[in-house]
Amino acid sequence: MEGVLAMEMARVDSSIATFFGVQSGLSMGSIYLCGSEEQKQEWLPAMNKMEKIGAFGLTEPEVGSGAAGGLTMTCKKTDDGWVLNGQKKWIGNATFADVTVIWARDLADGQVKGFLVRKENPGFAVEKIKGKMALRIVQNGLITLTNCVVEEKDRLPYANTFKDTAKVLQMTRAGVAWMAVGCARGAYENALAYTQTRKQFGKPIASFQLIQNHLVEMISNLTAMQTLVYRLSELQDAGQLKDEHASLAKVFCTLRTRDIVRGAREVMGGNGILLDYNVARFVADSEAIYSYEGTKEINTLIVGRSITGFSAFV
Amino acid sequence: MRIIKNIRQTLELFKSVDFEQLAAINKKVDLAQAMKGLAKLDENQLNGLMKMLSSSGDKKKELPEINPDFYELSDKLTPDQRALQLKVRAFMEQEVAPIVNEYWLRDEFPYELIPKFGQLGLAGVTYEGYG
Repeated sequence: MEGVLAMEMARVDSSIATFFGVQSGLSMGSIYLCGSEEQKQEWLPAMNKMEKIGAFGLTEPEVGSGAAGGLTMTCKKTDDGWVLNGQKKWIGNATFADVTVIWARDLADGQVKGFLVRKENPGFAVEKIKGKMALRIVQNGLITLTNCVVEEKDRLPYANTFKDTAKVLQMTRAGVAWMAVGCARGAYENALAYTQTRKQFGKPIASFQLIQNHLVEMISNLTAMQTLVYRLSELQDAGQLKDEHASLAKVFCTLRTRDIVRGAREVMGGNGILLDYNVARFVADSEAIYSYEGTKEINTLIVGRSITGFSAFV
Repeated sequence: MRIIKNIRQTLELFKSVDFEQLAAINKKVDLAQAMKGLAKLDENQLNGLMKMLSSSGDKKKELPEINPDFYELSDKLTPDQRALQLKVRAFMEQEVAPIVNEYWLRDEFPYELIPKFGQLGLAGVTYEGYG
């Protein structure tokens, strides 16, 4: 069901859908899957009503796709709890979130652990990332933790290796596939409505064969994507979703979405590049959806490993 | 005999012509020129022209509703899920769509939307026991 919600949001705006995905999927999902009962009670009901806002800190300035093996943010156990040091980049909602889930490598055992870092923590600093060409409504932050002290009660007890982080990512990756469907759907609806009213040579441009070819290509891709994500959610609801299922859907849908938004822009001519006509925003935003939460390349390798039996990860 | 038949046919033709309308059209286009052009068209072209002329006019063509869910996949949702989908759609269309381009342009987040968005209680709806 959360897939349908992501689609409906992205149909109007992918930034709002992303804000929601960070809140509901990544942040609440981390607490739900890896948190203690006390942590769930403290955060989940308040986050459900958005009285508290969450962020999710995994990506780092020098560590994007390579997060599975090379986080440089460190954590160290002390008598008082834990001390965290390092930076996180691109963290959505981070500039105003009440709590950020931070993933860090334990200096003792080298494993990735998860922490709930509160915004009032004096060791927590965040700077807004400016000048984006996509998802401009999403407030992405560069987080710096300097000798940031976190109590043991704010460590996620069921996050002990990167595999636990990956459980959260698998769930949200399926959501991104749905979001791509929503983005494509919004662009298609905008473009079709435009072609039915826009006239050239005395006739609506939707009556031209070349325009209909674009529109039919768009609805073909869109229908294939929608059918795919419905099945993806059936697998998820049945508890049968595997990493490669989510990755295939994410790659396929975000690729096709790029084609659909470009087609929509094309049939709208010059108006397609004007923000007022919406589709320009969809074109820009589709670039971010294509690359975030696992690039096309990383997700391709996840599917490649599953179908060939050979891991091509470096 | 043939001449008389031609004259009779021409008279019949003239009866069906509205000369006021013809004069009005003649102000906009050169009818003599148009007639010459018409005489050169073959049967297919004339049929096409007639089709075009009869389909235009006052009557507005009913267009099908825009349906991006071509295979009606939303039929697979339960009534409750469908209701929730439409609730989210209404929120996005009424609250977000009117302001979204402006915020996108300014690189800012519409914080004032959060309380209303939160009231929908959507975040983490599928996490059992914590909604």
